[in-house]
Amino acid sequence: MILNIVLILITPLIGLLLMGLDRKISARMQNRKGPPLAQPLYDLIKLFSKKEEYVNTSTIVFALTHLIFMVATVVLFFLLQDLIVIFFTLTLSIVFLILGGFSTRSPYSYLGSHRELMQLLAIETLFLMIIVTIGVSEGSFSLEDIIAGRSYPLFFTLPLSFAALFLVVIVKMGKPPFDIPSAHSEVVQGPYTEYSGRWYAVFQISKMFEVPFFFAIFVVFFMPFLLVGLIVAAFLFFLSLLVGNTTSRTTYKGMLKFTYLYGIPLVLVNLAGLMLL
Amino acid sequence: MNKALARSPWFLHYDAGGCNGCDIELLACLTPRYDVERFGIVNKGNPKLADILLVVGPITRKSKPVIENLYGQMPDPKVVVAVGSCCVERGIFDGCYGVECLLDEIIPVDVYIPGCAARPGTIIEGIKKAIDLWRAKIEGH
Repeated sequence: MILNIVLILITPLIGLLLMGLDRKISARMQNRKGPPLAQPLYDLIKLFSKKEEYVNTSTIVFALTHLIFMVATVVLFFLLQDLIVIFFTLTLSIVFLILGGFSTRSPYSYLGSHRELMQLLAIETLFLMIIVTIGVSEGSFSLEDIIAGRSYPLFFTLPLSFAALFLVVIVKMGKPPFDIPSAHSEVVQGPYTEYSGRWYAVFQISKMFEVPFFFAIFVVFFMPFLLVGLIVAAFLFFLSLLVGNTTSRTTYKGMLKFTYLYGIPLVLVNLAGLMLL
Repeated sequence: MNKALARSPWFLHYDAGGCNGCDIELLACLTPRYDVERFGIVNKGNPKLADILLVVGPITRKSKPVIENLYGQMPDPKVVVAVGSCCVERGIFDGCYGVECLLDEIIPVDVYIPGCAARPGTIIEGIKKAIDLWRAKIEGH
């Protein structure tokens, strides 16, 4: 129990480190020196030192609800609760982000929120199907049951679901092939356009919880061997940065095709395999 | 805490009507050779998140209200930098029918960067001065 609480408390720190590594490694891939590792922390300090300004109170309520549900997702995950409930809080948190974008009258914010909705459509189906394959394989959705007393990693029964989860994560990272909702040169900052100062920092903080959460799911797939899981998660983090730095942006149709054409068949083949064997 | 304060300057780049020469030199600062992201400087392209407003070119009739709008949308503390001869003192566009006024006649300008086109080294030095002014503004806030 104490370990679970410690994990919850260090998640935002790991998130900051991952965001710093993200910028540093991306810069090195582009043959630049890059910002210091603590740059995301400096950004946060800067954002909190700016004068408080906002468009209307409902945007702030939605931003804070987004953060609360994102934190709830991480807390439920590390307390080893039901995967379906974790999926539900995660989706709800994204829904509040979208509502926050829709509650201003800026066309960029509006367009960005539409694209965020498309992203939700593209990945949440796939993510839910991955969770269903875990449930079918283990006979329970509770993380506690899934992790407790294992002799072999979940990866051996669900290799294709694991691959599909990686597709979800590269879409979710918001990196170039799929940086559609917050496309810099098209919709300014997408749903985040109308936030400034500390209210933009709210989304940075929610990212600090979201990114480690997704990579922690990779670790669950290797669970009796924690170290192997961490190494694989670190490798996949590097791979997602490599994808981000070598590709250019697609359209939302490209994103839907990517997850529906490659992701869903992968999960279905894995599910059929589980049923037959 | 004070050391960490001004280490994340995000800038907004606006071309008020120049020849794009300074724009290219400005964007060269972001490329591997000069790499201003070393200092945490990022081109955000969003006035709500910007700390430094970099204006390039002479202020034309059409761009004057846009600059006033952008400046108004930036939350305090903020600094304004005029880049290139055209923005500082009209330059080659002096006397043109569309050129309305100088930048410091509509918004307060903190740093002037000369040159036609302003060289990346000069621009980085100007931005550094702007960051020092900005740090002073944050501490006095």
